[in-house]
Amino acid sequence: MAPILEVRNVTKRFPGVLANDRISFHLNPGEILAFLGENGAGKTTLMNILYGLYAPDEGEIWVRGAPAVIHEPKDAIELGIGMVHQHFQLVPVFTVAENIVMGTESVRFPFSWKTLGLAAGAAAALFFVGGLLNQGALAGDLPLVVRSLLVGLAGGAAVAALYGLVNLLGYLTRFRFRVYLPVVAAASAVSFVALALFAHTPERIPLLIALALLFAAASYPALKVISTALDRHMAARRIRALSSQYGLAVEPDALVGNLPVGVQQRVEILKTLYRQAEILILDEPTAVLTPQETDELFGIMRSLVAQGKSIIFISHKLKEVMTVADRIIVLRNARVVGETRPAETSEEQLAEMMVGREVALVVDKGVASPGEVVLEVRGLTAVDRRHQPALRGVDLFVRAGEVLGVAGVQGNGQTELVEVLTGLRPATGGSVRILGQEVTNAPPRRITELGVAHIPEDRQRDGLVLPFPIYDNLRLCTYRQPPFARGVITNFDEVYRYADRVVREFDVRTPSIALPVQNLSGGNQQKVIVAREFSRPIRLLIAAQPTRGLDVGSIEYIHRRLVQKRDEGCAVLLVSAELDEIMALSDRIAVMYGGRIVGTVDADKVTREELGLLMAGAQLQRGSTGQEVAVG
Amino acid sequence: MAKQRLSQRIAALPLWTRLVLLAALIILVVLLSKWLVLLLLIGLGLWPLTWLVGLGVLALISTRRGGWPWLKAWLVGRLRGLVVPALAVVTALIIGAIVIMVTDPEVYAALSEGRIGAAIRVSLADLGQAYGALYVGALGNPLNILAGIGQWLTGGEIQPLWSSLRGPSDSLVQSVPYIFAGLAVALGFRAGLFNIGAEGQIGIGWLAAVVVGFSLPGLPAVILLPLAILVGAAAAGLWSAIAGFLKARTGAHEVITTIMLNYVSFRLSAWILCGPLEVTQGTCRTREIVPAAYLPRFLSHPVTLHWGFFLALLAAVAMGWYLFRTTWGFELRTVGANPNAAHYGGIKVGRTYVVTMFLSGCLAGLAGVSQGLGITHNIALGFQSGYGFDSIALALLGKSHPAGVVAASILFGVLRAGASRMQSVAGIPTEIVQIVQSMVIIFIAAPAIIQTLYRLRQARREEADIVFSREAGA
Repeated sequence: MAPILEVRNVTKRFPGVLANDRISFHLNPGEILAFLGENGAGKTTLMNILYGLYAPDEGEIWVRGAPAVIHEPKDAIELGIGMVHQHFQLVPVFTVAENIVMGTESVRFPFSWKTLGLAAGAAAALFFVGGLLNQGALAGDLPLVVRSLLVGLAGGAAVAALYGLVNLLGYLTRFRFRVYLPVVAAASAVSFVALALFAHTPERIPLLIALALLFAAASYPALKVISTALDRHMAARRIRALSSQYGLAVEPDALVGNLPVGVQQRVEILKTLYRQAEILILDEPTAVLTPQETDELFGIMRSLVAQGKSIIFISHKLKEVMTVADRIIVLRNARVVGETRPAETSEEQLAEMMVGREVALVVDKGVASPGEVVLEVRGLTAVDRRHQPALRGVDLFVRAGEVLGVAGVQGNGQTELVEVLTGLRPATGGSVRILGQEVTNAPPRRITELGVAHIPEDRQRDGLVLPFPIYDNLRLCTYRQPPFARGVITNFDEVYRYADRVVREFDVRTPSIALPVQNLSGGNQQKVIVAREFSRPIRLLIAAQPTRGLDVGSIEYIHRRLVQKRDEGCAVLLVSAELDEIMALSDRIAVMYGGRIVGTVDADKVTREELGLLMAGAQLQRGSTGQEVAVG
Repeated sequence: MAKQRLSQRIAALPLWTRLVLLAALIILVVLLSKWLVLLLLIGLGLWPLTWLVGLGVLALISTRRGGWPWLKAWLVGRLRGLVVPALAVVTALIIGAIVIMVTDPEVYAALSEGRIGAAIRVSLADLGQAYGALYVGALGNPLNILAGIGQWLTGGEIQPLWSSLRGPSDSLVQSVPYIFAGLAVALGFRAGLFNIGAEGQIGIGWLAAVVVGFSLPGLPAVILLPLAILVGAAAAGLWSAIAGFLKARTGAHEVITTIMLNYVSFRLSAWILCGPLEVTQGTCRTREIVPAAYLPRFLSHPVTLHWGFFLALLAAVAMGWYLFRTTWGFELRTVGANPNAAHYGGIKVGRTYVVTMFLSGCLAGLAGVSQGLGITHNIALGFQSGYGFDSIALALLGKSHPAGVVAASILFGVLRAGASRMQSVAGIPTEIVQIVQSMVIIFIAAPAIIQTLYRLRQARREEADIVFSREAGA
């Protein structure tokens, strides 16, 4: 079958960076093509070119066998290309239906068949009733009802003609809206005046002209409301139809801001389908999904493809690509370095292609030898942003030299737990002890000074000051201490020296330590945080989603560093929504559900399925063998 | 390289040596202040000469650092940032010219009689007179300055020189309150705070300094002047800290609290000036301060430049040092850039808000202090001149950096000084200059207008979001 999309030798340069280097590929109809590559390999740039957000410097794009010129997303949409971005572009205070139709609202107003029909019908009805009531004004010897009917028809026809005239003028002059008011006002004035003359009441002419203008002015918003309501109704119907056709269950009147992330993603996909996309580009769709939601997404993707759509799926997660893709293209350093099928390759081979060298996918981890208890949490309670209970009595402990992984679907209190432990959120009850010292509700500085390091979940909000240079971010927690400051005055020589050393030691790829961190890629930003936290003596490391949004090379690095810290005797509390990460790194695993720890197990004695059940709220029970078993 | 070695050598000296050197430098500046100011004013008035001298110095330096290519690169780098502001000023002046031409009734009279040539001549004459007065009021008449220098050197008559330097002096005098108020608002912006209360804080500082100035007649100047300055600054600082405290404790937005405090300040000072402190019935004016509390003038009448100017420059340097070289300044900037990360780093965000508002208020108060102790020597009703509100635009123009604020303030001071002469000599209302000032602000705040007008190369939007650094792999 001929390819539905063909990209030939596309090249894109930015100042100082070659983002895409003669990339060529094709997409067959009805297939899922996965693009694999690290952050910075060029996949997002390529997709932005396909969607019209960037213009290629060289190369051609062919859609359905014909060359395509894409200057802006509108052109891409018209070609049937739809994109779901990694960061959703939804308005939280609008409903699902409003978000989906946003940008496609009918510009055919004031003329759409339905509006015309309604308006003409309403006018006819009014004239009919008016004729019935005003029998004196209608001459003739037909029965009253028939006369009124005729008048009604005439009225309806007049309105229809009026709208036709307005639409024609608008079409010819391209001033659709601007012709409406003057034309309708003029036409109404003329007809009312004619009516007055016909009824021999010329003294009413000024009044009637005023009424005509009022009618014209008032009809515009009235019709707009009708038109919008009609459009919304049509849109909701169409959304429901699409929704059931493709298996994307959504409620058109729900507010997007209240929906879970997985449903929001479905709304984004519906947006593309509503605009009749044939080629869907999904940019890192699973970055924000739980394992269950990811499975659902794959089901949706397969069903879309079965109904004739073609999907380009961008990811850096090897497992997922192997699971769902029909073909895989690997990008590295702005070039295509490999094209293969899941059956013909393996995760190790893919990782090697992505990174250019052999990558250890499984962390080399020795057995832990835990020491004293470093962190002890008893009965911790706290509320979230909306004053709802987020932690309902959390009990856990972490010993020196071991990794406790906290697993669980996002939204069960993990975020609040980490915030309370690092002093960023007040606890409403319970106690937190670090190295025997009571630190419940202690300020962040005190906790830091006890030797606690924190890799925050939202690194850009809590961990970094984006506009500041790397060296300022590296001294964020220690700027007051010697040698960085003598009293109040900063010693920049020491700051630069430290930054140079640490940037090299922690493999932060940057041309200079003065670069603002917002110009670094996600992986390098995370390395800056790791560098800052690890280069002072720490007893407890709290890592929240440490590898979110990172590429394989950075993930491997961070995992290695975490295990290294554990082996140095540090206690590590790892909170992650990636079950694979928890299972690979933890010595013990605690599962959070509904603000509590519902089970703590040894990592080597539990299966993935049992963890999944616990994450879904099952209880732990002692089975016949004495071993704890999850019961749903 | 020579400079680097010098600064490294200075940094290597022990702390006490450096403090002694600093003190010696300050004493030197004070002793030579008259000459320095004279040089400054002449340099401003004869600015083409200053530019030539500057270029000569640069050429000398360039011989040590790589000759012409280095010089060219340095010049292009520095000047590139000045293209848009320079064009903004030029365009604003053009618009001002159009307004002048269009608001002269004589021009219309000529046009209505069909005498187009006469109309053009009249409008050009208007323009010439107006902008000529603007220039002389702002920067002095270069010929007069040269003549004055000549007369002084040959005959010893110095008065003509002073008269000719009135223009540059007025510009710098007018820029002093702008500098202080602009620094105040810029400091607030750096911490993420909008200090709209500068106008009220100026009044508080002015009032407090003047009150100290006439209440303690026995004290010598060495004690009284610094005391008046400090009291004025501190009073305004405390006034502003109220808003900071409210924000820290209750989260009340400082825009609202500072604006409301402005009103309180205006009414309070009106009551005080027309009531308890009124010197003669019906004037709403206080007593004059004792001469010991005057901010001394450098030279004689009509050069009114006073020590407040040096204080303003000192404040700018101090603010730069505070912001970029101390841990307190780091805290302030971090709170402004990302309060969450600042909180995580252990910075007390609430306390930073209070301290920042206090310091900002101090700076704004110094604007009032310098007017009260340097120019008017008392305080009278109607002292508000809008410096506090213009300073918001100044802080934005200067991108919240002390050097930028000083540059923008001097520009505004120049325009204001020229405006008053334009009004007195050419009869053009000062509102024209306010139009020009506003146009300058608009053009600099929205550079796209200038870029489109003059078809300058625009940075493409795509370039703005490059991820600079890439990951592993070859």
